[in-house]
Amino acid sequence: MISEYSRIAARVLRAAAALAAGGALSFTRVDAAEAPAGGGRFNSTRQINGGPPVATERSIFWYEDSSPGNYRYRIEVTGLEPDVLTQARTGNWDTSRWQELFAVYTIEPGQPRSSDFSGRVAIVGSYRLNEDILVFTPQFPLQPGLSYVGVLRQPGPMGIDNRTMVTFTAPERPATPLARITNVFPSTDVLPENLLKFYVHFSAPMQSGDIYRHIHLLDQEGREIELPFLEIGEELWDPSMTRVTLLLDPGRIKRGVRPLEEVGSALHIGETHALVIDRDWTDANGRPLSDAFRKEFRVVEPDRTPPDPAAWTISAPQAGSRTPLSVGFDEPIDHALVQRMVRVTAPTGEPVSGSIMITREERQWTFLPDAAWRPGTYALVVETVIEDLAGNNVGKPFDVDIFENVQRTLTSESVTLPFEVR
Amino acid sequence: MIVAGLSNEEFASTLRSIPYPFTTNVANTGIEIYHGSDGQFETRAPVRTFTTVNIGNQQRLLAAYTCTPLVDLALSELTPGAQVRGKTIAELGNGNRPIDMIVYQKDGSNFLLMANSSRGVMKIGIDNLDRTESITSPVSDDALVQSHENLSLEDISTWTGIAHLDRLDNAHALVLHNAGGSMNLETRLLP
Repeated sequence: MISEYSRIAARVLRAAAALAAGGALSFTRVDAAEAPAGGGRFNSTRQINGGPPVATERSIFWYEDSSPGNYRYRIEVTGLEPDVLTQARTGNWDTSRWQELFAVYTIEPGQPRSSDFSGRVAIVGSYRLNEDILVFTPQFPLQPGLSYVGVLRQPGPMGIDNRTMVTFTAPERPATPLARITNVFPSTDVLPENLLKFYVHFSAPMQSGDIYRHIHLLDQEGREIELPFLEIGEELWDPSMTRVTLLLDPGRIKRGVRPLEEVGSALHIGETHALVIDRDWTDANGRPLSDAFRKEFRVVEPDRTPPDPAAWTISAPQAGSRTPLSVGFDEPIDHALVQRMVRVTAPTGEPVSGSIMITREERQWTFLPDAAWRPGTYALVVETVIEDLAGNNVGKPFDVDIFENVQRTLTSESVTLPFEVR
Repeated sequence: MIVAGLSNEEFASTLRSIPYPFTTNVANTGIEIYHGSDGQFETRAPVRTFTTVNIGNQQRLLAAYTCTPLVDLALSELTPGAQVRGKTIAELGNGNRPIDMIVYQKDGSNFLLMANSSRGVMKIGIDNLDRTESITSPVSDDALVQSHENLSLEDISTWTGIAHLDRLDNAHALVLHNAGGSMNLETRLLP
């Protein structure tokens, strides 16, 4: 009866401690707590630096990181013995010494639960002390649906080893719709024979590895074109794993290199081709795409003309308004590069903040400023390494005859197009 | 330190040369390497793998490009901001991608050993590197792989399924060998 009362009291205190220590972080849950063997301190609280009360009982709390869904947790352990705290503060402990005090193990699904952890490998992470609280941060996200057990070991009365164990199950990922292909750039369906890139965008993070077997380029008769892409083992993903870049094999684009002379261009002028992506490409959770994807396009003459900012049309907005600035390009521009290689500077030379929209099949760049335009001379600044669909840079075609045109140094890095706001 | 890479956005790939030991102020030290022979069109294609070698008392850079030329130039030419021209000393074949390459000496001669995605492992004698000009025209229409006539080219046909290659010591290579589905880490005598 007394022990039952103590347990309830302990839970209340744990909840209080969780609220106090958790701050802005959300407290998740403690699945099961085994009462410390050999007795523990259950009902004493005290003030730390005048802050909220903190339970000095032994407890192990699991906190989810401030951005839920990324399975980043930290584990806080209270109730460390004064001797242990002193040693931990002064002992310059390495990981193995910390793990003797506190370690987290996985509970393998289907295995009988055991309290024997000898020979088990604890999960890696960093240890630190926050006042009297031990904070353990696993190096990697927890695995959805997997159970973990945190084990605190410290010497108890009369040298009896005293263990506190709390298990925690990382929640299953909520069911989400299957991933799908949201966009493929370039968006136009008329592409030059020397097209350099496709960007494939997905609605959710995807799995990397062996991607090229899901991607096919078909000729007019529906036959698969052999090795059209530069197959790169590392694969060209963005950090969020929702965009992959496909480079058409530059060897089959560039004039004067062997592959182009031997097998010719991957794309054939005048024909309709199709980029086809299989449904069985799996997302980060191992599930297939919702649908297969197909983009048909007609191939036209190669583009060997660099983009020419002087030929771009700028419709200057009115002073005092937040009317978008609209820039029309002389040809479609690379969708990824145009987002970070075109910017607006104020009459002071400072960059103007705002949001960008790319429309008209990457032929138009629209900029909505955060603040109203002021009268004066603004400028559109374009980095010369921006590319069109064939990889031509400003002032520099994709392939140049080097004997006609070798410059000894890298020249101007940006082009400035002034415009008046009245 | 020489750095090459491939971007998921910009195609143009500059080789970077960064003075070591590092200083706080590293200027943009991009180097554009053009390569090719008379009348050829070239660009700043991405370097897939590269190494350095000392031939004729000159430190040289050997770079294999994604579009298959193997290019040589003197390291002394690599000054920050420069555009330099390399020599194409070999063509590695269509549909083939260089994976790794190492240089070594054997019986008093210098060799380059190169692992490729679809053309296996090639051994190229590079003693005459500093006296070799660019390849000017294909040896024959059906020669898929060729090197300059000054440089011997040998297929190491017994080395199949090499996924990665590095040098272990003066006599051995360390390879990651794809042996019918399982990957083995093996040491091998340099050929």
